[in-house]
Amino acid sequence: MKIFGSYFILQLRRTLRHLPALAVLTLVLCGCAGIFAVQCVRDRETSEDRQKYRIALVGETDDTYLGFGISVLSRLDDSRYMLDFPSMTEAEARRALMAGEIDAYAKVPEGLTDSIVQGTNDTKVTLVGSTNQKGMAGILVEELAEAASTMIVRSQSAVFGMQNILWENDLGDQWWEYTERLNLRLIDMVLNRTGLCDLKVLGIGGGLSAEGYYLCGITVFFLLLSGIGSSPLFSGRNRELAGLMASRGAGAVSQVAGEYLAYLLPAAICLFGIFLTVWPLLGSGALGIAEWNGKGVLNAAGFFFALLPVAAAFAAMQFFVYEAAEGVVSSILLQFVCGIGMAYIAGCFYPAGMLPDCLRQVGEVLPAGVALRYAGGSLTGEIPFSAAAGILFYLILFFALSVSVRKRRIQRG
Amino acid sequence: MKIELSEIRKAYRKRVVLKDISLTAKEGDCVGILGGNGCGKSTLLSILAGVQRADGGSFVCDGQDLLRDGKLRNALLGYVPQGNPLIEELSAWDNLRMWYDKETLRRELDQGVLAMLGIDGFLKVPVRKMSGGMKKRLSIGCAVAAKPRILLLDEPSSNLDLVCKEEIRHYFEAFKEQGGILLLATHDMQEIALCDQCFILKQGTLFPYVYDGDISRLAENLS
Repeated sequence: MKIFGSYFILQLRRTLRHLPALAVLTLVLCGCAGIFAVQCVRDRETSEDRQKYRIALVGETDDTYLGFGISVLSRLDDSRYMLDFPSMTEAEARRALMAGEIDAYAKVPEGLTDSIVQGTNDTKVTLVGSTNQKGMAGILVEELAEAASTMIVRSQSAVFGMQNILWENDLGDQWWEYTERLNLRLIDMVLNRTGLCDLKVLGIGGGLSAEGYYLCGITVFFLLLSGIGSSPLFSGRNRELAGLMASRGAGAVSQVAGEYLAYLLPAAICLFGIFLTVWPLLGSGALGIAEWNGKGVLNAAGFFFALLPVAAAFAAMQFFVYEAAEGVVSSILLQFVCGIGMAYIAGCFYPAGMLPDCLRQVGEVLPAGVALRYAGGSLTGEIPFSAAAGILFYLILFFALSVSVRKRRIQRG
Repeated sequence: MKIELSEIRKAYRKRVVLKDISLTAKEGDCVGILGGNGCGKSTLLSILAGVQRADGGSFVCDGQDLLRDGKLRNALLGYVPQGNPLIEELSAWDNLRMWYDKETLRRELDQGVLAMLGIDGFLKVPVRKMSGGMKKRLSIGCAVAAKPRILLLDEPSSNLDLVCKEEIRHYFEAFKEQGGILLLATHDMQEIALCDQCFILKQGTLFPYVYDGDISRLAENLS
């Protein structure tokens, strides 16, 4: 126990000696990560003026029925808040797509309305995007097309079914009047569809606002990368000391505990550094977190304080990487690759919901994913039990793994 | 006091490093373990120091098996590994503080073993700025903090200059005179000359050897 205490104090001294270098390295890394993160956020097009997706309509859009449909979508339907349908020629649409002015264009073929009215449904609208990935615009248009197809096919069935009944009951001379009444009824139902259900916006990830989500994501990302700056601390360790300590009764557990506890200091300082960066932004009103209702500075202090367990778990993970990897260069590379990879899969750069299901599920259980949920909980003041337990689990797991690696190393001599 | 190593065995998977190693030594003895590189000298010392586990055998001191009684081993035994078990960024004082309490450290620096090793002359120097000799003396200083009666040293004089070797030799002689037992893994002629009995460790087996100053014969036996 005496050796453990002395060893911990010595490790703390080592850490303090390296602190200026650690601070500079962390600052540089955080700066790079910050620029990268800002770029990512910008690319997500979440700024106010880019909230609407623009899908140009190309082809035969002058038809009365189609024009009426587009007019309804643009003026009356709820999709008017998300989608804009400018009319263009195909050449204009192609140029606008290349210039990034529109997200996609839809080619309306000749005779589309006729094929719908006659019930043949043998023509299709073609959607042209800029990449082979669907993107948000593609998904929205696909959803709209699906809804329109369903409505058209069902309406056609209703109209043709009604006409058959009219003929069978000798009311064929009144078919135009009944068809018109049914059409009006169907249109009324479509336009009133928002009355059938409530649309509730839960936020972009885990119910958080965009600013809140990105604050959590970027904080977790910084913490993941903070280990790289601590490399000087791990370059001076030697096996001989580990062996001597073990021979004096201070085995792998004492050694790892002494080093890890001292290593918590730079981890906590990194967290404090992020707080100091965010603090003036909140104070000046440049950054507003909807979840904090204007009490940003006070809540930010609580938020970052609540993230200490995350910093401790990540410190344990970084400690393990340094312990397991041979050589400083390889361990720095490993820290970097692990940090970037986990942050990406966990959804630190953008909501994990954008990822395929299998990746999203993996991301949720990775340390970064658990940390992101924990951070989200800290932001709203309701930390999920599973996230808190996950953080504790990872802390213990990585500590135990570090101990077992150290034990093996001592045994190998 | 008497120590007795009996049938110590060690293998790394299928590679046998030590085969039934046995020897005895009494108070004031210096035992030299000679052998080529990688023959298992360091493994033997690290097993005796409790760093590694033996596959079998015993290390008995006055009827107590030190391989099983860690507390007694810590009280009786000091170990100086081949490299330097020091924290590079910190000073000699800081490194010593890990093993000594403040009062004992001051006393030892004034007139104890640390003064004898000349450590008081470079107390404030960071380890990374020390010479090989300074580091070795500091390592020995750390190892003898608990005033051991048995000292295990793995090539203590390798890469040291003559003055430093001489200082360390003086310390060993003083340790022997006080009734301590030294167990050295060595290649160094000066250290071999200090030994009361020598053994050659070859292919995992320990052979007794009497050093007569003939280096060619010794080299022949080692190869």
